[in-house]
Amino acid sequence: MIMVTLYGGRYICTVKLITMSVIILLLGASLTVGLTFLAAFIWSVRSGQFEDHYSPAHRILFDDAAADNNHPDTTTKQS
Amino acid sequence: MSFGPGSRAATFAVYTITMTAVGTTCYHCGEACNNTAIVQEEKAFCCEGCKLVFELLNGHQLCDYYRLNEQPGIPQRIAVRKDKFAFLEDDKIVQQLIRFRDDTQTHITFYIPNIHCSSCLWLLENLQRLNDGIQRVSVNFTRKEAQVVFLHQQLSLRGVTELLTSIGYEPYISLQDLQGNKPTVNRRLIYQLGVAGFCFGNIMLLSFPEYFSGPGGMDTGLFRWLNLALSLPVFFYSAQVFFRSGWGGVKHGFLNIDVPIALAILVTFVRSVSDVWMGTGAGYFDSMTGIVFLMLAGRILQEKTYQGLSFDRDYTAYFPIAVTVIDEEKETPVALPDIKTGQTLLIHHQELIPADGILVKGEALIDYSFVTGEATPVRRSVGEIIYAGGYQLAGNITLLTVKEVAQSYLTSLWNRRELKEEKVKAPSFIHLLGRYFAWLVLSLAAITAAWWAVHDPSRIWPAVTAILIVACPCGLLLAASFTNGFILRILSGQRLYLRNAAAIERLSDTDHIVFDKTGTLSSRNSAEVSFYGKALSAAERSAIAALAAQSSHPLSKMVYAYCGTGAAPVQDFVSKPGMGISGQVHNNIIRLGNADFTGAGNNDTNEGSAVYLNMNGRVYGRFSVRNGYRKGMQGLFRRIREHFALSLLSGDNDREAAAFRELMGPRAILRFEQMPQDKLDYILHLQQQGRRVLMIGDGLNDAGALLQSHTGISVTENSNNFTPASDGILEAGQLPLLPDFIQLCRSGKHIILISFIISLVYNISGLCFAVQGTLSPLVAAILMPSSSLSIILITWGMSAAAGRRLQRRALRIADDKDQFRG
Repeated sequence: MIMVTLYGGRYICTVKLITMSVIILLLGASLTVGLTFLAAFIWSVRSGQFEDHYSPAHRILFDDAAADNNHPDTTTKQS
Repeated sequence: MSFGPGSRAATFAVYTITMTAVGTTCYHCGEACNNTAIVQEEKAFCCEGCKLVFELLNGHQLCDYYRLNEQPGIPQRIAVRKDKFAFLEDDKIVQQLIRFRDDTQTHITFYIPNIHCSSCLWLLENLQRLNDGIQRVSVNFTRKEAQVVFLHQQLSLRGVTELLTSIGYEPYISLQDLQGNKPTVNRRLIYQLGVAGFCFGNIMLLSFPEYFSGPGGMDTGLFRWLNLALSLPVFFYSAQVFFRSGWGGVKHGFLNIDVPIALAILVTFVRSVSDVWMGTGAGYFDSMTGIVFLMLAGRILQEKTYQGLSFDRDYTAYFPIAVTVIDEEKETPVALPDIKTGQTLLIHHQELIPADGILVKGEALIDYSFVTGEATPVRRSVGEIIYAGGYQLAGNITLLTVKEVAQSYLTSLWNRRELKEEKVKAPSFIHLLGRYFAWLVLSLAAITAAWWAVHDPSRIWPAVTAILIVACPCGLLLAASFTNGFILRILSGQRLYLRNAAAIERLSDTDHIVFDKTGTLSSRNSAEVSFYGKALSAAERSAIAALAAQSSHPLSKMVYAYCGTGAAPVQDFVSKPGMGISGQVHNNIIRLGNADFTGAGNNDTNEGSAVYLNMNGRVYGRFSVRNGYRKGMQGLFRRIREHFALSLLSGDNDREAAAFRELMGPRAILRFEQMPQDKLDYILHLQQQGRRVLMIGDGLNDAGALLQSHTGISVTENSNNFTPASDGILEAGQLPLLPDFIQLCRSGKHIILISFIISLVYNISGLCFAVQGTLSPLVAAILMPSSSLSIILITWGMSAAAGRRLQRRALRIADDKDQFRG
């Protein structure tokens, strides 16, 4: 429908209005996405994720189930 | 018997073979088990302490500790004194140590030097399984810190500390903790970078319609206003660093490079806002935010910090937090700052003497190697004065303080006024260069303004502002911060950790190098042992080794290493602190120790430390132990003695003077028997002659000199060890690379200059538009990123090339096996 009106000289103004409002919508969306990532970045710095690179990487490998010590076979070896 | 966790029967044979070849190692800590008696659940332990830890962990099903890493434990041969942490009962001390306390919980952060592997991490974070009073523990591995939350109604702080100590993770609590001057992590720059990056990216996107729509295209007013809005956080928040630093410079009458940069940011912002406001243009928001973003990135790169390394340690990091005071027969722990003169202190075996005092009771054998660099312990008898800073090695002593802690000889070195003041530092050449550049730009702007005033006054404003925008010396700043950042990383790759970027430039200016001897050129680890006396048979050697293995005293360890291995059982083992050890091996009664202990009489050897040997009542001779020199010293001095003036300052006597004369060349200045104060004065003396001094030292005895010199580098065997305050920390093995480090710093200066000259090409082409008043935002938006990108790429490429040269040199030196023997 917009395509049709594009060729009609009378409606150019309307078309421009429509494209503008679409752009405003897109602007809002892109800024929201950007802001979300900025917030995520600030949160990750604040929670100290960039301060200790060793512990989290190894912590995830610890076997919770080994707590009861009944699985001598499931040995986790790291250097 | 020891075999690896999870090993199957098939591998058993292999393990037994290696066992006989190298001897059994402790299941807990991996040290050699010479006393084969300690076995628990088929696992061998080197000492009772290690076995105790294993039993404790085994009893709480915490044996995953041994499964994550083999032999992850910390040797427990030296038991920690029972009431070592008694001072933690004192509420005043506790209040200053803890971070937070409510009705039930207490939060505290401990520094635990022993944290070294994932097993440590796992065990500490499962500490609550050992004691219900512990709520949770979280470990910061890089900082070697454990944050403990515990219920103080169930468990006292002393209890927590003793629990940690009982499993081998003794927290290190020093006087520094009490004074609460822990550095805080500054994350502000990172937030500023994040905000600048977000705004820069969006402004760039929103500028595309402006650049590509052409005349008569869509209406871009909305985009301009959005750009203006997005630039506000960058201008008011992210760019604060430059405004502050520039303003600080102006206030102190020193035009640093941030002054023209702050000015350029300000002018760009004002010009852009006025353009948008009047509807005359789109402004230069993308160039402005982009350059702020890149300069912040460079600054963060340059301000790299090494977690776990501290460049600001003074005596408080070495001193204990409290000491035992004897008051009317009662022993009470007292915080160190509260010690008054005239109090009686009880110093335990292996404790540091915190204040100058007179020896009242006991036998003092004091290791001053930390303070004076002299490796041999000093004997003092009752009535003599003992200076603070030494370690007591021979049992408990009592002393009467004559000076307060802060007034004692060693500590007063730090409290000298000249050290408290900022070192007089020559401003970096970057600031000087930036200043010339700024004057040049300002005069160019003035000339342009005058020209347009005559020809077309309406173009003064666009032309002058455009000149200030284009000619901002950000190219120079980018080149400097990125090059410094890269060089800091290359140096840390070769294990030289510099405090900051300013140290790079100071290091490159060095023309006089001062070395400390003990611990710097010679190493406590590479001791040379020789035996003088009756020739020893192989059987005798192995018997001596078996006895020496029983003691953890450094001299015993050296004798053990000299005699080879010996795993024979030792009976009737006796260790007398400060005297020696004795025991029976294969029907031989062996005594190892000082002259009195072995009955050797007083033989003055004047040659390092001696250990006398008495076998079955006969004095056989002595082991002479002296510090060996580090590897590669000959090559190092061959390379530097032509290019730098050299000095040697040693706390030791001059028995090695001839050897050092040969090593360091005829023009070197050698000074022996130097007290810490003498070393500091010598550096001052050199500086008064206009020398730019690089001091290389290691101990507390060099601390004053390290602080005073232009660049102070402290040498350490292991970068986790404590080092005195300095501009850099160098791992001892890398010392032969010293001339290459200085060379790299010098090439850093060249790299900055070259990339700055290249960036000038962009500046000049931008200026051609600017003086005519026709600098469009699009041209600026092309010039700015291309100039910045080429600077980053050039500095990276050239630093990487310099780094590869350094690496090749390091490999060649590692192959070179020359060993200097004095």
